[in-house]
Amino acid sequence: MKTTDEPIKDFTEEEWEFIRRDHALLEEFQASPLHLKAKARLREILSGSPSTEGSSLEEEKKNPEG
Amino acid sequence: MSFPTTPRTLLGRLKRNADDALWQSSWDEFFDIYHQAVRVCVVHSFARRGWHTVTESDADDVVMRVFQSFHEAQESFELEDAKGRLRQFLTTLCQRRVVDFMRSQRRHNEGRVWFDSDNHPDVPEEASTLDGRVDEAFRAARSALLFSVLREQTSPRIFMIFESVKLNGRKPEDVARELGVTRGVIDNSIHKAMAKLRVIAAKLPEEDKE
Repeated sequence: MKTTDEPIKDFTEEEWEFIRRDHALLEEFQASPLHLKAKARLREILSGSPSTEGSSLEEEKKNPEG
Repeated sequence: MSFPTTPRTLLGRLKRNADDALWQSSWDEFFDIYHQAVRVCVVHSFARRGWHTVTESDADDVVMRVFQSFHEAQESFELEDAKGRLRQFLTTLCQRRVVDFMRSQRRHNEGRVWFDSDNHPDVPEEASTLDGRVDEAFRAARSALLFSVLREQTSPRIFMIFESVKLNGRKPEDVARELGVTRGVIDNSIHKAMAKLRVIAAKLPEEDKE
């Protein structure tokens, strides 16, 4: 594991282009209805709300071995 | 210093504690960073097992199971001390939950034809292409994790300048004009942010590096 503060190679401009593209795509995904809906669902699952009723996830919760 | 404090902070905050609001916001942030990567990984895992068409609903279910499994795992042990890479751990969860899902479908519907011939693509995506998409998604997640830590460790103004110039590709002189500051302030802010970013990246655990 690298834990020192030794300098690391700076990103090249080409690498920054990749980073910018990844960043833009991720931001686009984070703003999508798919992500927002899933985020709300995860919140409900973590808080114990029965938002998964009727889904296969709920089936697994009822029958974890099956 | 032998322990990478910064990126682990987010993982550490995922364990439920007295501060419910912080716990929830940490999960929101974790999900924002890793949802796309996990989703791509789940679809990839289905495809590797011959399921080239997965409904959005089924994929969503499995993704939720992955995050639920992750939640249960990090509640029962110190994830921060886990030996495996975070990416590897999430990938393993994706593969297991996909297999679980396929088995449950098999039990519920013996003899089911797995592919919907109407929807099955003529040319399924090559495994190498899918591998590349998983790599890209986890690379984006890693960058997002780095920037998230940077946001926590720099002033809002420095981060905003860094984000405008380095992430959004705006011209430094335009940002300077907009903020009513000199170009030197912009350059200095970016320099500070980059220096901090290098420190954060150097401390990022090996298991989270590509």
